[in-house]
Amino acid sequence: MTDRKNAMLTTEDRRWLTGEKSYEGEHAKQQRYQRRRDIRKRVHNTILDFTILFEHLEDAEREKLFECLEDDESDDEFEAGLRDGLAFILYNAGITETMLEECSHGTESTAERLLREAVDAAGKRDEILIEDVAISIDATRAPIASIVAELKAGNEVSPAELCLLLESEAVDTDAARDCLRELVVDAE
Amino acid sequence: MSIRTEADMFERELQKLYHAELEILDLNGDLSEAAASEEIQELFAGHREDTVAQITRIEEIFELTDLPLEERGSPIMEGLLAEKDEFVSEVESDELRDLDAIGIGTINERIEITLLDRLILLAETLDHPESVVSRLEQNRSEAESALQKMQAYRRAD
Repeated sequence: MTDRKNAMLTTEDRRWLTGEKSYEGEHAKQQRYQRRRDIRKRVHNTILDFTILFEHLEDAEREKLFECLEDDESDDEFEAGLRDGLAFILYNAGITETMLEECSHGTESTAERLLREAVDAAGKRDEILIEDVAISIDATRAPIASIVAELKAGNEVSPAELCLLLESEAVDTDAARDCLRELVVDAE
Repeated sequence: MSIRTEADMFERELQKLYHAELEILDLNGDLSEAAASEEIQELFAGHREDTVAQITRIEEIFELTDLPLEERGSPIMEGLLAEKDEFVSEVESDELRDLDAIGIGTINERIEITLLDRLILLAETLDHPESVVSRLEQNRSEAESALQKMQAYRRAD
C-alpha cells in the first residue's frame, strides 16, 4: 500500500485512515484537521477528474487499464477497488434509502438517478439507446445485533444473514474458518 | 484565492508555511524512524521541539496580522513527502538510508528557508510590526541551523 505513486491518497493519508498512524502531542488537533481536509479535497478533485477520464481518455489507454478484467488471472485488488469505488459512491449518494420501502417514499434517490444516468451515458458511448433502467433491490433490515439474538434464541437464520454476520466484526474470521473447515472436511 | 496585492501574497505564503510545518512535524518523526544510525535518528527526533515552537510562532503571526488561521497545501511539500515515502519503502542499505534521510531533510530545510525569505521580504514591504518579522526571522534562523547540521553530517561522511 505504500508504493502507490500518484494516487488519490498519499501514503500518509492511507496510514492515517487505516489507523497505522496517529497524531499526538502539541498541534495534533490541527494536524488531524489538516489531514482530513486534504483527503476531502483530494477525493473531491479526483471525482471531478472522472468526467475528463470518461470523456477524453483514449480508447487504447482505457482498454489497457481494464484489460486485467478480461484476463484469466484477474487482479483481485483492482476488482476490489472497482467494487468498493462503486459502493463508496452509491452508499454516499444514498442507495440505502431506496433499499427499504419505509425509507424510499416512492421517489428516486440521488443514487438511483446517478446509476440510471451512468448506464445511459455508457450505453450512448457504444451507440446503444437505453429505453429504461430498472433498479430492483430485494432487501430487509438486518442489524447484526438482531441476527446474533436470533442465533442465541436458536431461531432460523438465512444464508444471507449468516454471510452478513461473517463479514461483520462480530465474528472472529479465523475461528469461523476453522469451523467451516471442520464442517466441510466432516461432510467429505 | 486570487492574488492581487502583496498582502494577499503574504497571506498565501503564510498559509503554505503553516501547512508545510504541520507536515514537517510528521516528516521529522518519520525520518528519525527511517534513519539507520543513532546520530541521524537523534538529529531528526531532536528537531521536533523546534518545529512545535515554529508552528506556535506562525499561529501567533496569524493573530498579530489579523488573518484567519488557515493552511494551504503546496505541491512542493506534497512532492517531498512522496519522495520520502518512496525511499522509506525501497532503500535497504543502512548507509544509503541515512544519506536519503539527510537528503530529504536538507531539501525540506531549503524549502522552509525559501518560504521564510519571501515572507520576511513581504512583511517588511507591508510594514508589519517587528513582532511579526522577528518571529519569521527566528524560524529562519532555526531552519538555517538545522540545514547546517545536516550539511555537516554530509561533509563528515
